[in-house]
Amino acid sequence: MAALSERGIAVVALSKDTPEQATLQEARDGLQRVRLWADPQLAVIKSLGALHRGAVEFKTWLVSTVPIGVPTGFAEMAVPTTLLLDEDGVVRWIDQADDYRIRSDDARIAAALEQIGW
Amino acid sequence: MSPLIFPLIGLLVVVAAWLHYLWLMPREQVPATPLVTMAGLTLGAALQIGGLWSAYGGPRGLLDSFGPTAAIAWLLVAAGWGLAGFFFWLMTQRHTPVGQLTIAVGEPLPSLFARDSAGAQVSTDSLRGHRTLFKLFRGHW
Repeated sequence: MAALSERGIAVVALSKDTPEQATLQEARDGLQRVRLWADPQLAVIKSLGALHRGAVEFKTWLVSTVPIGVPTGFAEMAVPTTLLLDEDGVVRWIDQADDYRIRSDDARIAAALEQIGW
Repeated sequence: MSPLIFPLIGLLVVVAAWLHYLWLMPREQVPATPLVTMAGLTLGAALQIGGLWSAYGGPRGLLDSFGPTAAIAWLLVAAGWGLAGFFFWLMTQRHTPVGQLTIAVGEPLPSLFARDSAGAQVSTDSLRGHRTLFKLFRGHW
């Protein structure tokens, strides 16, 4: 995250959460450099073709740094997807996880930044 | 030897395997195929059922056993097998439907609207003017 800031890259993260849930997450995770956007109607997610129907949803508690989660059912939500957008809003890199547990980590994003010359 | 020993040890092995996996999650070190976790869960479950089998002398003994100790042993085994089975079931749910994106590299992000955490409307148009990492994620949990 610091590396992105140093390169002047803003971070915006969108999910199906409501604005209230986004606010809670900002406080819980101390997200000062990330803007959370709420898409509870899944309008943006569906428009981008990143919808996952029947995904397992969890309720999670953090015990120290260990997340303890209990499945609460199945729901529609976003496929974990990462885009790099340039100043004109053009997509320069896309990464999408076919396994929701494995997402774009710092190393993968750093390699992408190198690849596109940022 | 108490018939509770191996069901308890097996449950502890199952719990340890789970905690190891959960510990990896926030560190983004979860492997695609969590072999260590799966091996630990399998070992724990095997220790439980093997220990119970051995303590009661086989299937006839297991069926004939009735009493507080046996009940506790069975509860330990149920907890261990439940936790192990739950993990293997979760693994069947991990795949996401990829390849359906309506945008591609080289294309502009369309004008789309969402809300920020304060509830104000925001547009993807506002991302123009600077480079942005735009992430779609599953949710706050």
